[in-house]
Amino acid sequence: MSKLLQPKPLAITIGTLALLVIAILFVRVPLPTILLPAEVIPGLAIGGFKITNTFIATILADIIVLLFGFLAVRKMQEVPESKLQNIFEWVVEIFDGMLTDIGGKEKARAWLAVFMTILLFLLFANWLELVPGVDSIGYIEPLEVAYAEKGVGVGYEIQHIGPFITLTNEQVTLTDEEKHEIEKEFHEAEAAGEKYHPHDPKGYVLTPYVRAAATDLNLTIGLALLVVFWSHIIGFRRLGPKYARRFALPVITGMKPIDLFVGILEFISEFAKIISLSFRLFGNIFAGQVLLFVMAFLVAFLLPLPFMGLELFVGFMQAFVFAILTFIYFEQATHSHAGDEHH
Amino acid sequence: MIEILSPGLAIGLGAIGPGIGIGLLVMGALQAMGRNPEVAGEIRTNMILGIVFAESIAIYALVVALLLLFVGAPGLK
Repeated sequence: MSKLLQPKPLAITIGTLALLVIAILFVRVPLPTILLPAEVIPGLAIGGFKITNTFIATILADIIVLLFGFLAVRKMQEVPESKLQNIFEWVVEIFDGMLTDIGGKEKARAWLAVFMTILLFLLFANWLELVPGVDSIGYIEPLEVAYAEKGVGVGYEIQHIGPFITLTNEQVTLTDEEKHEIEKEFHEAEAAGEKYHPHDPKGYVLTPYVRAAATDLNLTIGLALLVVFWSHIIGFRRLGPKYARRFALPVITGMKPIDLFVGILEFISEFAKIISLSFRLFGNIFAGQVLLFVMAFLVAFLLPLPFMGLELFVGFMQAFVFAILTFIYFEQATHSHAGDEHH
Repeated sequence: MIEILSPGLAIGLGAIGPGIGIGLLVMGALQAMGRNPEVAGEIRTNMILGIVFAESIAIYALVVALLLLFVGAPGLK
């Protein structure tokens, strides 16, 4: 306590508190629009394929991973001089050791590449939500259009700062009458084959160009499906038709009745795998994003900092869990049923 | 009223079990670390993995709450 009363720590403490009070009283940021589905970016479609903001984040994460990987192995040396190669070797060695502990050397070597790919991709994809500009730079559209297309009910007023347009913290909400009016006008415009434009927009909403990739269920379910199907393919390739025995398919003779029930349970658990893998990642990252939004909305400075640290940890943890579960599923798929391989 | 209450109840009730579970898990891990500090690193890794699995149950509740909040259930309104 006495250390806190010395001039320098005291000044820092008082300054921090003063900054907090100023932030609470004067600096307010608008709460971003929280939407479950990814938002389509207008005017960027390739053919009939609509590009969403989470898709852009996926591509960005891919580029970052490829860039780091390329830079790390550009000038490979037996005794690395480049720091990046050193870091990469260190990381790969840690996880190689971890996978060897779980599945043995042969399996660890076989699937280390898959493991590291999923880990690094998800790591950068999850950490992208902490980069300034993500979720905050985007296009601004009238609240009426956002309500008609996506059901957004809260918008903000805008201001011009030089060539840029920003939202202010003046909140605008639609009344029930206005909502009915908008719906009517929207349907009329649709029936006439025109694009709906409100005459005098009441407020505006911002749709970001980039939004963390894992906040889109399409990505997480896609990855989970890939991983689970891949594990079945690996099982068939390593065990042959014996692999089907765990699902009690009547291909194999000599089955005990109990195998049927075990098989049904195994069959259900395959679907549970897909659901739990995808929703764990999605839920954590989506909830983290909402948490960061709300904290920045409550107090603009300092308060979001510890939560950003938490998100750094959660982002790594979820990437790691997804990757390690992938490896565990692969490993389980190559275990022969009832241990009859150990003779 | 029910539209506001149901997401709150979904996440609130859904967080009870994982909360107790994570508490028990960390208790066990800390006791093990206290008795056997040499393997503390290994126990910590497994503890974090276990926490993540227990937490994922709360995440399911959270997803249901978010769905109720943003998408809505048929017959709710």
